[in-house]
Amino acid sequence: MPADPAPLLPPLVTARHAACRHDRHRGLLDADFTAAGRALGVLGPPRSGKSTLLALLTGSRRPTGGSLRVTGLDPALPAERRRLREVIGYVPEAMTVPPACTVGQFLRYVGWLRGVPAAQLPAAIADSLLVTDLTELRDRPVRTLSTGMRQRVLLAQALVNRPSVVVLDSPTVMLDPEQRSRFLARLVSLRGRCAVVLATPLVQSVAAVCDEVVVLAAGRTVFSGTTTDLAGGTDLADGYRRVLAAAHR
Amino acid sequence: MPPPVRLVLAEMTAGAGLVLGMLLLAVAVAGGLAMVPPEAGPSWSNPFNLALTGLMVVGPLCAGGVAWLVRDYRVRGIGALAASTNRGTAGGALPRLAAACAWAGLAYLVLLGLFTARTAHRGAPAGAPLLLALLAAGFLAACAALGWATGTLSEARAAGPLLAGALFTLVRVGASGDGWARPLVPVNPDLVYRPFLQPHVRLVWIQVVVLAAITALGLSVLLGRGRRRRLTGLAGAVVLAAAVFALSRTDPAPTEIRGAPAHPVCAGDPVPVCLRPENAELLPGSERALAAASAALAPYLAVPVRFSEPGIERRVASGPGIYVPPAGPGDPLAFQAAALAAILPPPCPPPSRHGPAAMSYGDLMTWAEARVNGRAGVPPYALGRVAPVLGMDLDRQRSWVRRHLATSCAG
Repeated sequence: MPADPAPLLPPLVTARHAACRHDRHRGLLDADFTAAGRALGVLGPPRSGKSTLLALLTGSRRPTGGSLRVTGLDPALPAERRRLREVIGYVPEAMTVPPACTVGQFLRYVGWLRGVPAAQLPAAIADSLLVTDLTELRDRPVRTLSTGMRQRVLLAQALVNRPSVVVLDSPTVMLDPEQRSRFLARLVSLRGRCAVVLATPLVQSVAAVCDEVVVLAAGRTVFSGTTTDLAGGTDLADGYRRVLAAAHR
Repeated sequence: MPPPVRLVLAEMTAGAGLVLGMLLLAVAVAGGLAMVPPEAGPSWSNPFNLALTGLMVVGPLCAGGVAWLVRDYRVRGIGALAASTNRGTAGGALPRLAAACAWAGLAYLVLLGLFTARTAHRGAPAGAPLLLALLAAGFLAACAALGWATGTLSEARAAGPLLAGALFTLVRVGASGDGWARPLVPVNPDLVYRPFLQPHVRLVWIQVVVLAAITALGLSVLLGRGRRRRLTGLAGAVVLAAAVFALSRTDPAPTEIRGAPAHPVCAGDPVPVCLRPENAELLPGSERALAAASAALAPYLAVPVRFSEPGIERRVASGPGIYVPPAGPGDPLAFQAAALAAILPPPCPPPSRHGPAAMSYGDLMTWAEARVNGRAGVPPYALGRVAPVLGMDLDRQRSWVRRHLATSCAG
């Protein structure tokens, strides 16, 4: 997949030995990479530190060591962390929308969370509904929606503040193959609007969306580069397995 | 409509927020109709106290409901989403918390409305009864904070129901307990306010501070792991310790006598008597009963020359000349009993539980009734004890009265 760099903008993510430890051996121990493209995949087995890295990228947590910048903003600095939180959209892992509320109500809530000014909120909601093809479903309670539609609601909420980066944590794990491919196609189309950071245990998802990839194992970066580099002339999944095997040795 | 209000309304009218609200309202309506207001005369303190008593169920339910809502918020990943915003995890839960508190507040207003409609009162409530509303708000805030902390600390489904059950048990057992720790529980289910009584202002303020400290301790759980959390927790603990110490140094009586009204209603012929304005309809009956009792007993003992309700001339609940009128104007015997108690008050308050002393005071009251009404009104079992006295001459009856007044003080 061709890279789509924006040379005048700062890199999407720059991590220099960034760490966020839960204790001595858990959490993110050493993330060291630079991603300059429009779509970054984060791969790794369970407990490899993916969600912790995403917590740093979204400003949910502060690094306990090293340095990190997201679109040039340092989440360790309070003022820049506040700014970062305004320009980020986020789909947390295994997130579900309360079934009784309507799509519009939930987007209004997330708009309030993100600090979207009240005057701009209706237009922002309409825009995110349009991008995710949910305009007709605005007043439907979430419990009446299919799994695929609910996943689109999660994507819509991540767009409600017109972010410059959307961070998604394992968004396709619960979807069937057809729903997954449609969702990934939608993410690809999003790359024109904003950068995408996609953490997932599914290599195919990264292959479909991302041009750059970071592989984490036991809290450390074991690979960073383009998807083509990771594949190494073979299938991306094979390349991923090779990198993990090398890391375990 | 401002966006935060719309968010709170959305939380109140859908899903778990709506279920919690309906439950709280149902409990409030059922409790408000099931509890019978006391017939103690006009008082604003009674409806406020009854509504506060109703919170014994509403408060724990609110705590359990908040714990459930906050748990749901975290389990659904909405807390993680909010953590990536400038509102933060705690701020993102505010609409849910506000919805639960709004429903609990509405339930309190329903209780208060039901009791106010069924309790006699006059004019606008004074400051002391309104303090009970502040106490109610403090109680609900403490319950909500404990619920929030529990929902934050535990993802177990049972956490909310267990918290509700534990809080209810704690408050119920505490409310029926005794000793210096009793005032830690802000609910008094068995308390009845006569018109001359009001909540013990100092005690209620300390209770409000205790609840504020508990709220601060609950909220400290939400403030992450940093200095703010430690400071809030420490401040809550220090204030709680200080308030508990102050409680241990405060008279635990939940009531005190109200101050003098600006314009008491008085009658002066032949016996001067002053009542609170809300008891104006009791003045004629009181005057008649006091005149009759004074005239009948004056030859035998020193009868007060004027009578007034507690707090009008002296801030004491009983004593010579302190007249506590009956709750309503319908029963002449109740006026007579009140008049006799004002002329022959138990001389050693609180009323002695010592058997011979209580019996002696009972004999004295029976004798007084017989002096006012004649022997016809005295029950046969009591008449046997005082009939010989009634037949004595004036001097011997006087000395009998003096002796019995002294004995009834012996306990």
